Amino acid sequence: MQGWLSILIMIALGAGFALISVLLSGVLGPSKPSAEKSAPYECGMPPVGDARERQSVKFYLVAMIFLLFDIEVAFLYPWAMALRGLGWNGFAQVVLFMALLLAGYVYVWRKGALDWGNEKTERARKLRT
Amino acid sequence: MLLLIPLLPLVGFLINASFGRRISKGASGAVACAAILASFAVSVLAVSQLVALPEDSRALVSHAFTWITSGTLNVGLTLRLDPLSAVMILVVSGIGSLIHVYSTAYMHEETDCEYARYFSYLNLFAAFMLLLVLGANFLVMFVGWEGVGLCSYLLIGFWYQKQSASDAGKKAFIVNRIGDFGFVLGVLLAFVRFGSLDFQEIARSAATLSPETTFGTVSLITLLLFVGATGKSAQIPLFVWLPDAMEGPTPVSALIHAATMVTAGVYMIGRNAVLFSHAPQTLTIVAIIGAATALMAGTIGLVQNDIKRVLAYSTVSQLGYMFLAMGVGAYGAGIFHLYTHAFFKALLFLGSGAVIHALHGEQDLRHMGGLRKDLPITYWTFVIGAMAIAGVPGLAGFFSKDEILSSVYFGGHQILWAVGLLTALLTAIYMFRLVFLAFHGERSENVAADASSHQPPATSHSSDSPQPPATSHHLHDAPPAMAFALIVLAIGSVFAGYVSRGGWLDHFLEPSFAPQTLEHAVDGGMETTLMVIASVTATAGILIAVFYFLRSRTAADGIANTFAALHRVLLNKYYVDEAYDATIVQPIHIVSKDALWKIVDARILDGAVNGAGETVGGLSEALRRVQTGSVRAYAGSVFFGAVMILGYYLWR
Amino acid sequence: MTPGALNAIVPMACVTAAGIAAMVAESFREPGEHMPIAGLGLVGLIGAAISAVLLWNHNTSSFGLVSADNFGLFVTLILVCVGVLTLAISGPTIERERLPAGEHYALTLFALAGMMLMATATDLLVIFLALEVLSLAVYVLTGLRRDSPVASEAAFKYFLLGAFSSAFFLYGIAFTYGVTGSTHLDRIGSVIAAGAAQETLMQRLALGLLLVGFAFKVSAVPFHMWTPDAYEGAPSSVTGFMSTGVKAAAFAAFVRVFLSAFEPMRADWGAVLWVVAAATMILGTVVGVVQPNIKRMLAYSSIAHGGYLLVALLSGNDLGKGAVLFYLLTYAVTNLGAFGVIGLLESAGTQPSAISHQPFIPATGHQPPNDQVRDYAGLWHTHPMLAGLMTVFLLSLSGFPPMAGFIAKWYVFTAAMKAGYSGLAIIGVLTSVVSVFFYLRVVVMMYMTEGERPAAFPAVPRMAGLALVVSAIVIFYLGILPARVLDWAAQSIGTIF
Repeated sequence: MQGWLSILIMIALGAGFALISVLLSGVLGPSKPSAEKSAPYECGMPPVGDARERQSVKFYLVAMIFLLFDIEVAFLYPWAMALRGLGWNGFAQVVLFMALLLAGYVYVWRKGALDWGNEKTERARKLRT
Repeated sequence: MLLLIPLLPLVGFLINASFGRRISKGASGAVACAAILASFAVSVLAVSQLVALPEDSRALVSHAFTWITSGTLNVGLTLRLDPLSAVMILVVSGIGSLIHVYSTAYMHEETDCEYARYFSYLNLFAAFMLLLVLGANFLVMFVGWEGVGLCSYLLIGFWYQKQSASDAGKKAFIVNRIGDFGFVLGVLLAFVRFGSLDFQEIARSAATLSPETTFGTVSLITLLLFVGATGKSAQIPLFVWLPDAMEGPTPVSALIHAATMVTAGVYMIGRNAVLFSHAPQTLTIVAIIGAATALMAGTIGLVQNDIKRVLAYSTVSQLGYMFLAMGVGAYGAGIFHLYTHAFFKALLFLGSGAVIHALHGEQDLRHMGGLRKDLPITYWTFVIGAMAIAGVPGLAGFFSKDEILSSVYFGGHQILWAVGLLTALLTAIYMFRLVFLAFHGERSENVAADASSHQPPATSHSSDSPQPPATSHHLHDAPPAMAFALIVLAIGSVFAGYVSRGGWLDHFLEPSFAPQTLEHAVDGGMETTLMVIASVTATAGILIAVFYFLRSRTAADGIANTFAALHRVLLNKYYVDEAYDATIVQPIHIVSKDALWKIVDARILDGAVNGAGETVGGLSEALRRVQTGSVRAYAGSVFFGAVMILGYYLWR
Repeated sequence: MTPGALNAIVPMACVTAAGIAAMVAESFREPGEHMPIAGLGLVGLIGAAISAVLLWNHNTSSFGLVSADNFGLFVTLILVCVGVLTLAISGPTIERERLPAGEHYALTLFALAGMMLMATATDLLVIFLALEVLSLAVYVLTGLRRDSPVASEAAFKYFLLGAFSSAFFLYGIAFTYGVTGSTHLDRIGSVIAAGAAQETLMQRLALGLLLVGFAFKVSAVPFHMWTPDAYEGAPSSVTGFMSTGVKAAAFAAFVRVFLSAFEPMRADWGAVLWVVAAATMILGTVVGVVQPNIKRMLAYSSIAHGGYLLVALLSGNDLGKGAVLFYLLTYAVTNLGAFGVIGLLESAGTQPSAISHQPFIPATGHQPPNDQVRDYAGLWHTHPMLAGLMTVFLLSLSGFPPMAGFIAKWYVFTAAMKAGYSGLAIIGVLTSVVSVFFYLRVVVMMYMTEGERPAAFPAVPRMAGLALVVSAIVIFYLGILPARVLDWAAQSIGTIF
């Protein structure tokens, strides 16, 4: 446990510094708010709408699909490094893995999840029904 | 062969249930009657085989297959015919057959489809009832027990277009579930205590015990079983469903709610006589409940105006009698009364059915009168039934009632004996009140019934038949099929009692209640005295009825006015229904509907939020609120559970 | 690696392969084209069944993580039944709701594979993996009616709460690992048994967290809140699937973890499960009584049945262990049958005048489904066969002899009495007595009430009709001749504990 104590102190110091600076600036600094001052941009841009806008769901879809295929690479890299040791057995396993992923890829592609435009999505919607 | 007895009606049920819509009334009626008659024939054959066996080994066992085996639990679908079940199957299939035949005429106004439905239920009932009485272990009995309950429920609600009928069905069902709760627990406890569900094995193990002097396991088992019996056999405190069950077709009332199903509780106690004998405290409770029910129902029966309700309370009262007999250990006498009662009560119900049939659905006694001339067959058979139930010497009811009363007396329960005697007096009075009001005097159609009526008006049983003031030249006596059943049952009501001559029936039944049957020191002289007292009581009751309801009805009204408060209490059946509603039904309803659901099922909460959302406008807006709001509540519940469990582990 | 090492995962591999094939087939389906995708699934399931039968009594194990012992295989076979029935009855629902058929079947098969893995896994991490595989598929299935706000709401709730409970479960695994230094059940069991004398706080926390995770999946009170919403929102075939499949898989793992690894700590979890089981039975029954929606009613019924299963699990004696498996089988067949009928009736078109009872129906041309109890009014007159089948299913659910449900319940209560849990047995009998009331409410509706509308039923698809009839026959078979299956269940569970 002894070795961890210094880390704990470090954490406490870090957190303490952040906390104290925020609190101090709030306490010490003069506070004279006006309409101009509390505007989001003081340099004359009038705010339009809510900052928390809805994003297109496409973003999330693409992000998720990216994540999946990114993992693929994360698996392939160590396999390539240890290729000689794993031999045909390892090769077979990776081929199976790739095949499974490929099936998913084909599905995603055919369903139009990778299309950004409108034309293909329409087709996909028809496909679904 | 035993298996055939319940199987035949089951086949009848299957045929009528599958093809009933496609075949004519004649065909479906014939199928049903043939099924039950065949079952009766097989029963007779089986019983004759049984009687041919030597006395000490009188039992036929038929093991169909092993139902459940696992570890120590080994239950077979086993049927066992012994003297007790022999009496029961003859009653069930015999009287069942007559009522099937009677029904072919009684239900003739129904459509083909409904007619087949009726007969399929009736056949199914017979199958389950026969299974109930033939079952060699609790589980098989339970199958029958539940099955007859279901059929009874379906048949009470047969004319479901009538609100009161479906309500009555529901009520019967709920009340019976309370009884079943006791029954199942009793069976489970018996299994844990004795390691078996077989009646024979339990009896054998129980016989080695000495009777419990304090309230122990056996007492608890028997008490729980008795709770089941009070549900099925309509005893205090669960009797309230039976009078309402009269909403069903009259033949159903005769078969299920008078002759057979409601006696299942009595039969069950007889079946476990050894067990009950080892729990004297339970027996005392049984006897007291039986006597109390007999008296209570008898008094209510005095003032009811619906012909079937009078009979229903009479049934409750007579069942109380049987339980009284069981409670004092006179199992033979109880079963004997069950057997004779089946004849005359079925007769009385079928007779009332003939009256109702003739009057196109009229059930109110105050609208009847003078039917003697128009319905001679019905009248005479009805009078025989009434005399039998009243205990007129020489008829069936006299023998069985007398046997019960003398057993009670010699068992040392003089107070219960007095209650029994009083009930016998009441029985004679209300039965002959019924006879005189319905068949004698003049028809009085314009009685201002509605003003003084405290009970729901008797409505027409068939929705399409109006309720005309049927003038006497329209009246017709029972059609042949109905008359046949009436006459056969009347003959039975006269002669059924003679099987007990010289103690033959008692002796025959004895092996079923072995190894212990209570032998009371019987004083011959005293016995004769009791017999005379019983006869005098019956005669006195009839004479009272003659005076008040035949000679001078104004005197009867006078009494009712003098004791107006008492009369009202009786007319309202001691307000038991109202009391149950206020103390049990309403609180449960409030708890389940208003409290638990609202707290626990956040859907209600959703609804409220949804409503708010709608007024705000946007669909998505509302949905978002719904989701965040309730998910938070749901997660809160999960969190609460986790905290409780972990907290328990942390601070234990 | 020897070829035999993979044997234990062959059943789930078959199902997974079928699932992938279904997915790919769906992606090549042209609009409006009909493909026998359900048939693909059926082939996979039959493969799984055959391999399970071949593996019977061999007690093979793969990687030391998956063990195809008889217990796991029995549950696998139950799951095959669930799968086959689901495929058979989902046709009408898919058609009515215009669901993406390929996705429906593929997700069902993936979920099944996860369930099979969960039933046979002998390592906590693999159990967790399996739990997530099946859960993710089921979340999506719940929300398959994408244009229905009710369904989206249900899926969303289910997903969030499921994630929440998964966290508890994972945390429990971490604690267990911290205490015992292993995630393997055998190892955990021996470590706990060895240190049974001085039981640590950590150990109890691990137990409690795992308990929460399992309790959520079997929807025990107070972790049940998601159940009614999810069951109501999901398409009926999915509801039937998840009420039976998820329950079977979760209980299999529950039994495995608690009756083997954590058996030495019975004193700890016994008391908690007692309370949870009692609360589950009571709440499921009492609240079920007043539900006007039939799917919601069956959701509460499912909660109550979970309570009975917990009683069997808690009893933990020979009878109880056998009872868990028998109950799961019975419940699977019965409940899927009931949901099959519900699905068929939902697909019977309502008249446009039907009253809307859902607050938000978007203008997609969807009519409210016939899922209120009152929609069953007069069914006997319009469709006697369906009414008869539904009666069988409902009576079996209520534990009415001689249907299978009766034997299952009887077994559970006997086990409880034998194990000395007479309090639970009393509550169980009482609640099952009360529960009959709400099952019978539907029966009354079908037989004793006039229907308001002249229902025009489309012809029942042959597959669905056959599946329902077979289910009813199985229910009677299990009710009248249960001996063989009971023996089989008791023996299979006897092989591992």
